[in-house]
Parts: sequence; structure tokens; C-alpha cells
Amino acid sequence: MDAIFQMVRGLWVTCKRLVWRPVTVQYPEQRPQIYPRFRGRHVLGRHEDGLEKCVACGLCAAACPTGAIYVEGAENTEAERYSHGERYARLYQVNLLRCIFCGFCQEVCPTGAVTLGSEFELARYSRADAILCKEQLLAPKG
Amino acid sequence: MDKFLLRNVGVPDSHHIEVYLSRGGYESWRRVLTSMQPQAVVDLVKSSGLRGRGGAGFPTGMKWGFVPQGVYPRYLVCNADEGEPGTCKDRVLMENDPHLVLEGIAISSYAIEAHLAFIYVRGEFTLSAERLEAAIAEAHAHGFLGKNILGSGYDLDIVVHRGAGAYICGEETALLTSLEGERGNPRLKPPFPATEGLYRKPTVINNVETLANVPLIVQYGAEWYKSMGTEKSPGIKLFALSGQVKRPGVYELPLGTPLRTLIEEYGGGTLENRPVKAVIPGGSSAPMLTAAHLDTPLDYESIAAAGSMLGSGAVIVIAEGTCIVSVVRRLIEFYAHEDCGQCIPGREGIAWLARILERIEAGQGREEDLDLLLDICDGLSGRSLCPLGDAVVGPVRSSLKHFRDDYLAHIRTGQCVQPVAVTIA
Amino acid sequence: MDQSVTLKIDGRDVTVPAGTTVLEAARMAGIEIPSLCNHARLLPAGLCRLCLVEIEKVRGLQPACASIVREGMVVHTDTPAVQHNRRMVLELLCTNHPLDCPVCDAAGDCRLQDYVFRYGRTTSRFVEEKRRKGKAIRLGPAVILDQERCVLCQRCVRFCEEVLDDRQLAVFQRGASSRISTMPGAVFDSRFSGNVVDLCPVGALTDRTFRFKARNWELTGLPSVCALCPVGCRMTEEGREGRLLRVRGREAPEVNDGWLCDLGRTGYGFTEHPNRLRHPLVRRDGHLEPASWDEALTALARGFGAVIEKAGPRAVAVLGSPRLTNETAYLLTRLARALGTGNVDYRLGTAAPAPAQATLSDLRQAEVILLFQGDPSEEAPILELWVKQAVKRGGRLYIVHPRTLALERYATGAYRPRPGSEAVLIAGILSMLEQGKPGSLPLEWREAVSGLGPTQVASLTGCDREAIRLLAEALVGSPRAIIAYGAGLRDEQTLALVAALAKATGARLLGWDGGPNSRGVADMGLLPDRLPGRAPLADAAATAALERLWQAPLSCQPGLSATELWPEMRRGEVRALYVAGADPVTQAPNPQLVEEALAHATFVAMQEAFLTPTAERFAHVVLPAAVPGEEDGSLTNLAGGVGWQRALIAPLGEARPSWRIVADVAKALAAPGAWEYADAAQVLAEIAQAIPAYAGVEVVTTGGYFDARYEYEYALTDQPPAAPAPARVAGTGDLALTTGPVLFDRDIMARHAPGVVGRAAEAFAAIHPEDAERLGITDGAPIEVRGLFGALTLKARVSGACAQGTVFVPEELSELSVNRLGAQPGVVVMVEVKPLAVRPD
Repeated sequence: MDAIFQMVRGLWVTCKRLVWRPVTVQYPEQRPQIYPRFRGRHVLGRHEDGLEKCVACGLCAAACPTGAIYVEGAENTEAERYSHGERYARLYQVNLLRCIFCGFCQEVCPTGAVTLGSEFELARYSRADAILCKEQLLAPKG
Repeated sequence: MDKFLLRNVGVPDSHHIEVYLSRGGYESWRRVLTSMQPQAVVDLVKSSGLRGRGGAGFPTGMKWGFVPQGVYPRYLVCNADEGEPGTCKDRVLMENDPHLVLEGIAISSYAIEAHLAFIYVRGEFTLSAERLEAAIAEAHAHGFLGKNILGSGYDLDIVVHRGAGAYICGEETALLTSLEGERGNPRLKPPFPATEGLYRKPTVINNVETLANVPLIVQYGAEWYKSMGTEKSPGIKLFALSGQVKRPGVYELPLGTPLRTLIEEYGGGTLENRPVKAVIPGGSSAPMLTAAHLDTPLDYESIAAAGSMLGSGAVIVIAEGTCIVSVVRRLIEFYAHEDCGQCIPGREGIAWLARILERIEAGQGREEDLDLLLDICDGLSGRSLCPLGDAVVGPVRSSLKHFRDDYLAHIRTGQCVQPVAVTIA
Repeated sequence: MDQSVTLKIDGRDVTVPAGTTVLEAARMAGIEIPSLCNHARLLPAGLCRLCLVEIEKVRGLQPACASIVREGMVVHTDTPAVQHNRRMVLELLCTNHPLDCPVCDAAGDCRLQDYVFRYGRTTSRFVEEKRRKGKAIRLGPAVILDQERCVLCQRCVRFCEEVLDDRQLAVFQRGASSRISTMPGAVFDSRFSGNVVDLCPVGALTDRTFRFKARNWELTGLPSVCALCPVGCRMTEEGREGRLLRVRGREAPEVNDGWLCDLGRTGYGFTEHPNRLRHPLVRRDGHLEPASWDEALTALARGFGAVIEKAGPRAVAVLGSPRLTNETAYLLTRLARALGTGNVDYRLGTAAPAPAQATLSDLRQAEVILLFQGDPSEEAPILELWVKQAVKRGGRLYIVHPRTLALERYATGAYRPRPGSEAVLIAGILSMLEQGKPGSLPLEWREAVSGLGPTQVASLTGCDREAIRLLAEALVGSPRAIIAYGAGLRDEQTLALVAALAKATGARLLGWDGGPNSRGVADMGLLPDRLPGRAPLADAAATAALERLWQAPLSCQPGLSATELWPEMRRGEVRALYVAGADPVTQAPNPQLVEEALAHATFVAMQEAFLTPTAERFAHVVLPAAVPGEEDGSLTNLAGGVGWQRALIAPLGEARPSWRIVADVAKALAAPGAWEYADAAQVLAEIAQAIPAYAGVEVVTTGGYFDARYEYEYALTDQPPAAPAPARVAGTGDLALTTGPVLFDRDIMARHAPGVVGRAAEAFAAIHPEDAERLGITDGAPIEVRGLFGALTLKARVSGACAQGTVFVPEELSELSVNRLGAQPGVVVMVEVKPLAVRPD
């Protein structure tokens, strides 16, 4: 008797799911919903005037638990200005194979330049391609 | 009372040596050279109880005694950089009776065995400097200065050096630095000037008025000097009365004269006979006193007991209806402008005080700013490189103690409630 | 000061030498008292007020940096008042500080940052607007100033005043508007300007070449030794990701005491120079082409093998350079001797410096200094500071030099003997000593100086007779006299006389030449007539010991010196040449002869970091060598101190450490003996065995580096001093040529560093105003200087510093070799100078 009850209860669950909408997303035809606090690929932000927010302070690299970030600073000149102030990032590299998307870099950034964006399609055909440079990380102008 | 320091002031051509001589001038100098050993002069001044008239009130004879034995050359420097707001007594002496100053310098140089003396004159005092220079030339011509003075074998030259307009050069080490031709920055003490002063040699620095007392003490004796004033503050003092009084000016009074006598009897009371609100008894850096202190005798001890200092004897009277916040703001602005910039409390602290006061005066203050002001004062007093830090603290602390309501009114109403927002200095 | 004082700091008894400051005493006891303005090598200033402490029985808080300890003193460093003061001072500092740590080079190595963390408030009560001052002001070629970050501790100003005695920086304006700056319109271009960056406790002064390249916590550093001049300053190399980014001074009272000159500080930029050799080069069909190491070494073995087979080992010569490390020089010596040739040398127109008898500390405390033919400012900059310090302490300086030196204003006496008569001056002083006290010179010396009476010396040298006597008296009269000779002394004969003078007066010798490691290289035996340790070739015991160590028979025949080499090579007697670190075409005294000789050579192999003119034109094989910063090795400085230079980064491309290249070449040539070394330290260990004077020297592996000093004795010169021969005069012009190095152009590698480029003057020739007027030359105009082997076009610099009748042309200015004019030791070259018409543009 008890066994039958258990069986009926199990079937009931099955029957119920039959009429429910499926939760599986048909990726890549269908795009999954990205939540606001999702931590995807890094984006280097810009100010409204188009200049880069990053000043190459290197705190992200220092905070990174896996050593995925490499930053090298240089000095803005009148002719070539990348950021406000004197200092800008000549090199900014993120190694996606090392990154664990913990978000520490975003947390320590004093200028709000580094944010973990919504991009999650990060597979590459070569290891070298998985090291993103500044140009790939920068938000588009405007 | 009889005038001693100011005895020649008002006499026509009092700055010329003929007039000075005709009134008994240089007799003390002659007496010292002919009949006294240097140590005897030091002892005489020590026993007279003369105290420094520049502001600190340090016993003059004792100061001379700090010069180390057997180290030569030594220098005497007369501090004539009278820059303290409210103070104008030395100027009166230098302009009207330069020979009295020179005689004092000569006797004091002899006492400390210096053969070169400097007068560091405030840059703005062009007349004082000119009269001193002319007087030195006259004294040379009459044989009171130069080589082998009056056949005594003693040599003395006096050099007038004009300052370049910095208040801080009234501080003795800054004065020495400036005299050496450098930017007038105060130096670290120790070493004190008495052991390592001008050009790293023993140097005695005395105020003009202090030195002007010396010929009188030689002339009339130490006992006479002690007969005036109080026991611990003997003698006479020049008081520079200014502010909202009817007859501002320089008055010669024995120490111990009540504040009220000076203001009412000599100064003729306050303008429009408004009640006294505050008195700064010793130059702008002395803490403020209130009407309750009007019966305090003007001597070093009594004024100190009342919570202020006699300082240079510049009495600034502030009458009711005046905004104390405005007064203090203006004073601190002055100090911030005159700070040398070497030490951090002085450079950043005074500037911050000035900006907070400015904010409060403009009605943008907060009540916690008053504690902040006091905290910055704690950071300044006794901790800056030179005494300027202490000078700044006086008006701020005393005004917050006695006139906190003026501040609160600014903070709470956002504006000044006093009818007069007077600026001084 | 052997007295000591015991005081109590925070309840702890501390015993320190009398005269110590409370701050220093606390530091010794391990108690930190914060301070921004105090610096161990500057006088106390008491400006920052951060170090205020409580001292019992003293009213108010007292500055620990300026309070001298007294017996029984009781100090408290952690009372509420002290803490309040620290909090307050730091809060005050931060009121107008930009707080831009993220973009500040000092972050991570900033006193203010550390102190605010440790002692400061967490929040600020400052609501006003911050004061603005100047940002990124370029003070000079090496230093950038941010006035907003400046805490006005005045360390930089005090450095200029106390150490340089050159007030290039000062505080301007006053109160809150105070700011550091140069004098209006002036440039902070001191040779030591970079030191203010090390001194700055915050990020107000930053290094122009290092600026923004890395954060402090990203850098790794190694203690090392500067390889750019004979002082061998102790320094720290710092870098990141295989790049050498910064060099800073390291505390070493015996050497540079923490200071560095700007050449050392900025010169290491050459490690990244694009012209560095990255691969071995082999000449094929007349062109040098990249090759593998195997190919290059095979070609080299074939080339040398053929010569040795045909003409014997003595047809091979080895030419080193004073830039080599001891290890490289030692292995080169060993290689040459093992191959059986004595033709080994490194001197291209210089004399091997005599062993040092004084340390640099002795120099700082000297009572009398005779500076002979040397200009410390250009040749060994740190010595300029030490000479100034000696004078400041009451020492007297005497200068014998053809030009007016910057140091002349410190001199008690300055002598400008006629070119070529310097030896006569020294001999004249010796003769004066003998006359003053007959019998004071050894018999065999007397003859050398006998003919030189005071009148004759005065007329030969053009120096005042009385002045020479005063110099002689000064040298004899002081127990702490030092004779310091410099790069201007180039011939052995004068050196022998100077050494004799030192011996006769009891003065101690200290000398240098243009090469950074000349002394070490000479010690290693890179000389045709010496063994390692400078032992004579005839020394049988030394030879036997070396043969045992090297497991090879030793060729003890004296070989050809670098001067004798070239005629022999032109005649075909010497056919193969191995050059390490030298550029004979530019550096040898007679470039014409050298070029002809090299053209006759059958085989030339070189190891070098850059493609030098010699390599480009004559080398058959060029092996790429590592540069300082990329290789380990020891260097012996002018005072005999040995320092260990460290490899911070890997050699560029396929370059190898120089010592390893020599070992590889030896293996390729199948030279007898074992040539397997794991690292440079192992070579040094062998040096310690081979050279008795270096016996105590070893690499202390725990500390990672060592600073040793060795002393050794042997006859300064084998021969008694000879009578100075009349100077040989060559050339037909009417102005005598003088020459010498110029700091920022003296090193063939450092000259390429970005921080150095532009600091050396454009190639110039200095000429006395009267000569200039006579010849119609104006300051700055182009002139032609024609000497023995050709002419140079230079910019005229009309200057009274240059003696009348002489013209000064710097050595190797912008790679124009002064040797083209024929400058050589012991010869006065008369050059022709004429103005060039300015080409209208």
C-alpha cells in the first residue's frame, strides 16, 4: 500500500513537469538571461569624454588571487592623452585562463575602471588568444 | 609721573646728538667705560631685575650670563624688528631718541664683551633706520663709537641692518638667519643664540626698549629701578595703547599699573564710551582678557595669573559691539600669511585655522568646528619649530573661552550679530 | 667618541655612543619614532615635528631628531600627547595632500603612506578645498617634481646645501604657499640630482626614467655594484618581468654611502637598447651575418686553430678591456697563458693603476689631498663629494691639472704645469724634499731628480716656485695626506714618480683611470709581463702554483703590450686577435696603425654587447655578450674594495655572460685544463685560490652579495723612478691637446641609455678666450681641430677653464674619437685649430 502511494506520488511529480515550461535554455539559439551582478569578462570603462578611466595603479593586479592581470603604466603627453592626469595604462592584460572571476579587481579599483561585464563566451582556439589586451577590454567610445 | 624712557621725546631735534648730550646723554656710557668692569655692568643689570621688553620677559642680566666663557667674538644684536600687531613703542624710541638706544647698545656690548653690534630694524621703519644711521655717524664723530672709545681701549661698531618685511624675523633665530643674509627662517633650538648665534658665535639679542633701560639703570642705579614696579616685575615699561580708545599712543608707566588706569586715565576711555568687551594686553599673540580683568595690574605675574601675558606691552582694547570672530579671523589670517612654512604644524595648522575661521565668519561653520579649532591649537602650542605656534594659539583659545557665544551666533544664525565687524592691524 | 650613554626609552635601558640623537638611539633599540625630515646622512632639521617625544624633566614635547642623549635621560615615545601630535601632524599634512596614491610612484614605499596607516586618523576633518600647486614640473634632466605631494621636509634642499654645496634647489614663497623649486630659470642639472628622488620621503620627486613603469611592490631588487666608473658604487638593481627598471643607491659607508651619480642611476637603460647584439655574428663573403653559437664557435676554433698551427701560439694576441669583470679578465688571462701566448693586455693608452693605499673613508677624512691629473667630477663622481667633505672638515686640497676643475674653488693651491711637464713638477717636489733634508730620498732616486733645481722646475712647468714649495710642505707636514691621481696620468714613468713622491712624503696613494675595473683587470694579470696577482713572470713559485691550479703548463714568456702589438700585427707576426669588450679602432692611441694592423690580421674574434666600429669592420666572429645587470661578476674598485655585481635579468636574446663566453671559447679551442664552471661564483672561488690577495674574497651566498676589501703588498714599481724625459712633441699646430673623459659620454654603453642621452654636451673643443680671439673663434661656432691622424669637426667652447695655449677635446665624445688627433701617453700633441665657415641653411 505504502509502495503504491510512493509510486503515485512520483508519477504525479512527473505528470506535473510534463505541462510545465522547460527551464533549459536553447543556447546558443536562445540567449540566457544575464543578471545585473553577473561577473563576466572584464571591461575597462571610459569617462564621458572618452578618456580611459584606468590610471594603471596596478591594484587590480596586486589584488588578483591568480595573477591573471598585468598592468604597465606610462605617462600621458600633450600629444597623446589616454586618461585624465599624468598616468595611463600602456599595457593592460587579462589572462582569461587564469581568471576565476572573483571580482576583486573590480572591488579594489579606485577609479571604477574595471568592471566584470556580462560577456561569458570566452572560449578560444589558442592559449595566446586567451590573453586579452587593453584594446580588447576597453569599452567602445561614445 | 616722571618720564625716563621717553624723557627726550617731544624735545625739538631730540634725535641729534647735541640735544641728547645737552640733556645728560652718554654720561652713563662714559661712566661705564671709565669706572666699570664688564662683569660689574652685568651684575648691575642683574640686580636691577630688568626683564626683556620684547615679549618673553626673560631677565636680561641672566640672559647675558648665558654667554659661554672665553668664546670670542661675540655679538650683540638689537631686535628692532617691531612687527607684533599693536606694538609701536620701539619705533618711538628709535625715531625720537636714537642715541638712547645706541647708548644702551654700547653699554650692553661692553658688558658682554662684544665689539660688533647689529640693529635689525624692521624694513618698514625707514625713518628709524635713517635716524639710527645718522646717530651712529654722530656718535662716531664724537668718539662714542669706533676704535679706542674715550681712550678706554674698547672698540665698538654698530651696524644697522634693515629687514625685508617678514614678521617672523622678530623671532630671534629667524632674525639671525636673516641677518646672515639668508631667508629669515627660524632655526632649531638648541643651540641657543647665547652659545651659537650669529655666524655660530655667542650672541645676545635684546629688544630696543630693554637696551634703552640700561643707560638709565647705570645712571640712577639698580635700587632706583627696583623702587618702581612690583617686586618681581620692577621698573618702568612702555605701553602701546591701541584699539577702540579715544587717545591711543605710547605711555610710559611703572609696571603694576592697573589696566583700567591705562585705558581710562591715559587712553581717555573707549570710543563712544562703549563698555570694554575684550583687551589684548601684550600684543596680538597674547590671549584676550575681558572686562572682568580690568583691575589686573600690568605686570608679568598678574597678567599671567589672569590667563594672558604682558608680552610687548601692546594693549589692544576692543569695545562692546565688536565681532570677536572677525577680530580673531583677521589675526590668524595675519599669522598664516607671516608663517615661514618650515614646520608642518605652523604651515598647515595655521592655514587651516584661518580657513575654518573664514568659514565660520561667513556663516558656514559647524559646531564641531569649535572643537576642531581647539584641537588644532593643541597641535600647535609648544609643538611648532618656533614660538609662532604659541602666538597663534593665544587669540583662538582665549576667544573661544570668553566669547564662545560670538562663534555660536555665527554658526547658528549664519551671520554676524554684532553691529561692528572691525578689523585691526 | 668612545664614551657611551645609558638612557631609558619606553622603560627600556638603551646604551648608545655619546652624541647620538634620541631618534637614533630609539632606532637602535628597535623603537620606531616616525620622522619625515630626518635622514641619517643629513643634519637634523626638526621641521616635520612628527618625531616629538616626551623627555622627563623637559617641558613640552621635544624633537627626537635634534635631541642629543644624556646620561639618565628618560624618554617616552608612546604617551597620549605624543600620539596626539603624530595624529595631528599627519592629519595636517593630509589636508592639502592630493592623496593620489594610485598614480604616485612612491606608493608602497612612502613614509607618509606608512605613517598615516600606523599613526594617523582614519577620517579627515578637512572640508575645505585643497590648495593647488605645480604638478609634474620637470626640474632637470633626471627629476620631476609634484609640489602638491611635497611635505616640505627639505631633504632635497638640504642635500644640495650640505652634500653638494651647490644650492640648486630652494624653498620659495612662505607659509602654506611654500614650494620647492630651482632658482628662477635654472635647471636642476647636478651630476647627483637623482639622489633627491631616493631622499624624498613621499612621491614629490620622481625619477624621470623610471616614472610610472612599475609599482614598488611589483619590483624585485638585488644588491649590486655599479660597473660604470672606478668607484664601484654599491647600488640596488630593481626590475620587473625581465626588465631592469631602476637603480638606487645602497648604504655603504666605505664606498658611496648611499649616493649615486646620475650616470649610474640612469645609465643602465642600455640593457634595452635596440642596437644590442642578440645573436652571434659570423663574417661570410665580407658581411657579418647571424649565426648560431655552435657555428660561431666552430668558425672561431677553425680561425684560431689555423693560425696557431701555421705560426705558433705567439701569433695570437688577446686584448681585454677595463670594463670586464674580474672573472672574465681572469679567464682571458688563463686562456692566453694556456694557449701559450703572452700577448695579453687591456691598456689602450693608459697605465695600470698602482695598488690603492687608502680607502675612500680615508679620503673623506684626509688632511691634505693632492689631486694629480684627475677630475673626479667626470671620472669618478662620488669622489667629488668626498673631496668636498674632506675640505669641509678642514682638509686642504691641491690640484695639479691642465684645466680649471669645478673643485678648484675648494683648493688651497692649484697648479697648471705646461702640458708634458707634469712629471717634472713631481720630480721637482722630490728634489725639493732632498734639498730640504739631505738624505731623505733613497740613493738611486736622487739621481733621477738631481738636475732639477727649484728655478729650473719653475721655468719648465710654468708654476710658481713658492707655490710648489708650499705643496711639498703640505704633503710632508700631514700624517693624513693622500695623493690621488686620475685618468690624466697615462704613462708609467710619471706614475713611478708619483709613487716615489708618496713614499717619500708618507702620503698614501689612491688612483684611477678611465676604466671601471682597471684595477681588478690588472690584478687578474691581463698584462703581458705579469701573472694573476700581478706577480712578475719570473716568479717561479707563483708560476708553479698556477700550473698546479690550472693543470696546464704556463707560457711565461713576456708578450707584447697593447702598444707593441699593432706594429707586430701589421708585419704579420701576430695574425689572430681575440678582443673582449674593447674597441681599439676608437680607443687605441694610433687609429691609423690599428686599422692597418687589423686589416693584416688573419682572424679577429670579438665578444661585445654592441657592434663597435672595430667589430663591424674587422671581426670575423662576434659573440654577443651580456651587460651589467645581466651577468654576475666581481669588480675591484679604485680603493681595492671588491663588489659583487648581480644579474637581475637574463641576457638579451642569445647573449651569454662574458665569463662564460671565454670559457666556451677555451673549450672550443681545446685549451688545456678544465673549463667547466657552474657560475661566476665558482670562477671567483678559483681566483681566490690563484691570487693570494683575493684569498679572503668569497661570495657570501646567504646574503647574496659581499663587500670585501683586500690589501696586498708588492713593490710599487720594479724600477726606481727615472729622471723625467723631456716631453716628446708631435704635430705641427700651435695648441697643445689635452683630453679626458666626460661623465655622460664616457661609457660606450651607458651613452645609449635614454636617461643619459642629451646630458653630455654636443661634441666640443674647449679653448682659452685669448687663443679664441687670436684665431677668430667665437663661442659655439664650429671649428676644425687637426691632429696627427686627421681632423675632427667640433663646436667651440670658449672658456677660461682651459689653459692658454691648450685645447681640450673630450675623449670619445659622441663616438668621435679624440685618438684621431693622436692623443697618447707621454706625448704632447700640437694641434691646429681653425674656425669653419658656417654653412648657410
